[in-house]
Order: sequence, then C-alpha cells, then structure tokens
Amino acid sequence: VPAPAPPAEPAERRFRDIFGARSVVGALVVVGVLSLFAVALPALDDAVRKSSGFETGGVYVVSPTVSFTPADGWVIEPEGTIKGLVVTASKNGWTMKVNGALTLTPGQSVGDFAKVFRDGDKQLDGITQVGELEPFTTTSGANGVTWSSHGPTQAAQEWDVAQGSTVAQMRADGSAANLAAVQGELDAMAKSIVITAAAAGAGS
Amino acid sequence: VSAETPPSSAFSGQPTGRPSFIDLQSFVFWVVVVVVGYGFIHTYSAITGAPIMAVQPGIGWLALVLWLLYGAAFLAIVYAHQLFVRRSPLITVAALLWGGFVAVWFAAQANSAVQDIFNHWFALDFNDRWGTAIAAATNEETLKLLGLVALVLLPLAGVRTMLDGWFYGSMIGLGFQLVEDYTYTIQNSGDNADVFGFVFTRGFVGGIWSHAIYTGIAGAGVGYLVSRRDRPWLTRIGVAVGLFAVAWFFHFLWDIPLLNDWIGDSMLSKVAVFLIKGVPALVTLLIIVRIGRNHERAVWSAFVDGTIDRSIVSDAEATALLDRKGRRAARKAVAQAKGRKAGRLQKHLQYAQLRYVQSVAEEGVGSNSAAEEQARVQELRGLIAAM
Repeated sequence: VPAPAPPAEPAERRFRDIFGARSVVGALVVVGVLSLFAVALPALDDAVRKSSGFETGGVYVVSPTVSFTPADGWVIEPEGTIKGLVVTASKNGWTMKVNGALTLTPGQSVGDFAKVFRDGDKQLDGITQVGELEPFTTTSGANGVTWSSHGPTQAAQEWDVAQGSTVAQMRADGSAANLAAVQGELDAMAKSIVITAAAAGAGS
Repeated sequence: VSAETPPSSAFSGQPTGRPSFIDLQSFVFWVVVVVVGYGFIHTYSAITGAPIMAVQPGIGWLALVLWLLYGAAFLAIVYAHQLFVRRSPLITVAALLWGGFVAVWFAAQANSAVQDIFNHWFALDFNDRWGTAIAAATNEETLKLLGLVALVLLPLAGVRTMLDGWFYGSMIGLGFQLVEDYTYTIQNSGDNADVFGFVFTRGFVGGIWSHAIYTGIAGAGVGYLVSRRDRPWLTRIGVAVGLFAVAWFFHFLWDIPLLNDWIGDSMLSKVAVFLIKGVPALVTLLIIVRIGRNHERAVWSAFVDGTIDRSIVSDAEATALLDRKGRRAARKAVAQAKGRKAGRLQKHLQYAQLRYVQSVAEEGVGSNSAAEEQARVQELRGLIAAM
C-alpha cells in the first residue's frame, strides 16, 4: 500500500508571512481597538475631568453658604460631588471633600461637632493614631478645629470651621507616603474656606 | 448566488488545512498571546488581592471549583451542538482565555472611564438608569467580538463559517462570564452559602442567557461576513452589523433597571424579569444556529456527494447523518436488529464517519488522519457486521 500523499496546502496557509498585510494590519487592528478602550477612553475621561474641574485661581462655591479656593491640580471627582452641597476632589493619591451642608445643633460647639468625627477615626481600618483637636482659624476669620490621624500607610486630616450654626467641613484622606506633597495645598485650601454672612446669624 | 464565489467552508472541495491556534507566522498570534498574558496578570492580582482570599481562602477555592464545573457543563452543551464539525480544542481554549482575561480586564477599564464621563456630562442618576448599561453593552460586546476578529485574522485558525463564528463567539462569551462571575463571587461572598447562592443566581438564573449568548449572536454575524462570499458585500456587512446590534440590545436590555423597577422586587417578579429579558436572546440565538446549521448541512451534504468514497459513508448513512433524529433512528434500527452493543458501536461508527469527512475536507483524502478514520470506520463496520 503506497504511503498517503501529503495534502495540498491551501494558498491561504502556504503564503503566510509574518510581515504580510494580513499579519501586520491585523495585529494593528487588534492593538488599535484595545488601545481605544484601554488608553483613549481613560485619556478622554481624564481630559473631561480636567476640563470640568476647578478654575485655576477661582473661588469654588460648594453650597449657598460655603466656598473655598482650590489649589492647582486638584480634580473634581463626580462620584463624591453633589452640586450645591458637597465637592470631592483628588490629587496625588489624596482625596479631599468639602461639605457645605452641615449645621450645629443648638448648644453644640464646633469642638463638640468635630469630636464625633474624630472618635469615628479611631474605628477606621488602617488608622492607628488619632491626634488631638487643635484650634484653627481661616483667613476670613472663621474659627474651628483641626486634627490628623495616621496609620502605617494611610493618613487623614480634617478641618471643621463654623460661623453661626453653619459648619464647613473639609476632610482629606490618602496615602501617608504622599502627604508631604499635598500638605501645603490642603492647609491653604482649608484656610481659604469662607462661610458667607448670609448663613451666619442663627447662632448656637 | 454566484457560482464563481462559493461560500467559504471547511467543506469547500479543496483541503483547507487542520485549524490551529498556534501560528508563529502571524503578528496577530503574538498580540493575542501578549494581551492574554497581560490580562491574566491583572486578573490574577485582582483575585488574589480580594480581602476574602486572605481571610477565608476556602471560599475562593469553592467558588473556583463550582464555576469551573459550571463552565465545563456549559461548554459541553455548546460543544454537543456541533453537528458536522468538531472544532479545534486549542482555538476553543484561546477563545475562552480571550473572553476571560482580555475582554474582562479591558472592559473594566473602559467601563469605568465611560461611566465617569457620563457622570461629568449628565445628571447624577443617568448612570444608574442608562449609563452603566450603555457602557457595558458597548465596551464588553466590542471587546469580546474583537477576540473573534483576531481568530479570523489568524490564517491557521480557519474561522470560515457562520457556525464557527457562533461557536468561538460563545466560547469567548463563556470565558468572560466565568471570570466576571468568579470575581464577583469572591468579592461579595461572606461564607460558603453565599458562594452557592451566587453560582445559582448568576450561573443558572442569569447566566443561561448572558455573555455566551450575546457573543454567540454577534459571532455568527462575523462568521457570516467572512464566509458567505456568495452574497453581496452589503448583505454580509448588514448581517454582521445587524447581529452585533441585536447582541448589543439584549445586553443593554439585561443591564437597564427600567423593567425591574416597573415589575417590582419580589422573587416572582425577579424571575419574570429574567425570563422577559433572557428568553428572547436565547430564542434568537437558537434561530441563528438553526439557520447556520441548515447551511452547513447543505454544504456538508454536497461535499459528501461529490468527494467521499461511498464505501466509507454510504448514501443511506450520509442521509442518516444529516440530523440528530436520523442518527438516532439509524442507531435504534441497528440496536433492534443486533442488540444494544451494536447500537453503541453504530454511534461510534457515525462519529468516525463524521471525523473522516472532516479529515478529508481539512487535510485531503490521502492524508494520514483520513486514512486513520477510514480504518476505524472499516473496523467498526466489521464489528457490527459480525454481531
């Protein structure tokens, strides 16, 4: 019995070439579409974030009663932002939130108010040391308190300032390793918080 | 129908070559290898980094075993739906890997970016109502289908028919489904009961009409586009785009909460929603597979008539092989005449004849594989005759 003849290879298989059009163009198509999803879309997202972020040097109105001056490079995070109430922004692995919709209860001081949140820090995973409340005054003259919390990798800082019954709360969380890079900007933004006169007057 | 441009098929008359995923002469192959590896590393990191894996690794293992069993059962069902061609196991694995590691990982990046953009552009609840569904259907369906396009671009893979597109598309969808569901399970389970619950709800209640179905539908369109050279270009493109749109719509429909809100939140309502959203997708796929199979049957039959030695597959046997009913009837007739063991041997004979036809189609009548199958057919025929 003669050995079976080798099958005839179809042209499509015989003339394969790694530098042929089907190989090169095909690979470019696959890489191009993947890049669209993995590079172009995130880049567009980044551009949209920046374009809809803070205006350089401008004052950002958080709520009808609270505003502040954002530092350069902080990008608004839409997930944590509710227009007219709260704004969340991020930079260098840090996230900061300014809440302009809080008020003191009758008889409550800003220190009492802050203590509730400071006690909450003690329960947080990754936080091992919670600092004492320290007095804090904004450039516009509103008084409040601030404290810092730390852990092996995480850190947090909070500033609570009040005028009348209105409280402006600025909270920042992020990587302890990057704190130095944003510390000055966080301090400056906290200092820039303004509680408008319209809000003051309810008294506590 | 143009006689000059017959549809592309494994049964086209000339040997097409045995399909293979490994094609060192193609950049596409190397791109697929690299991105599968890239996706695997990221997916592995995400899975091993899940908090539950550090605290209760047993949950991770249980989920892995259950989802693998689920995947094996799903694969077996889809595999059994191949009537005339047994598709390459290696290409099947490549399709599963693309779906599980490439499509899942890249879609996660894209979904996150698109939803973020929607958050900037639209009202807060837009994502909940529409955005998540639009992003998922668009990104995931495109990325899954890209895997099939990559296979089409590999000359050795030989994706040539509508049913090739359906089969490998389904495998890509199944891979996607398994990795996504496994990741979801370990990220949301607190104990073993949760794992069983997720496998039931995501696997059986929601998984039967999920990614494997969507990509199967869209894949059939790509298969039609590349194979039906007897049809005008516009028709082929129209079918491919149309089936992608159908797959996109079913995916979108599954993800939007609109119907869920209207119908309510009771268990019965949830089942009703699953059925309303899922059954049309499954029925659509079954219709598409039926159309593809009818075409494959006609091409196979013509190939057998024109090429196959009738001493290996007789006219009556070829007719019986055309559908499952005929095959069962032939086995039953042999079993009634010569006993149950002969009926079982007849089943093996039918498979050997199908493999023979496929070997002749892919490697030629003089190939070693055709000779092996021919010998097997003759051996089985002798065994049955001796009973």
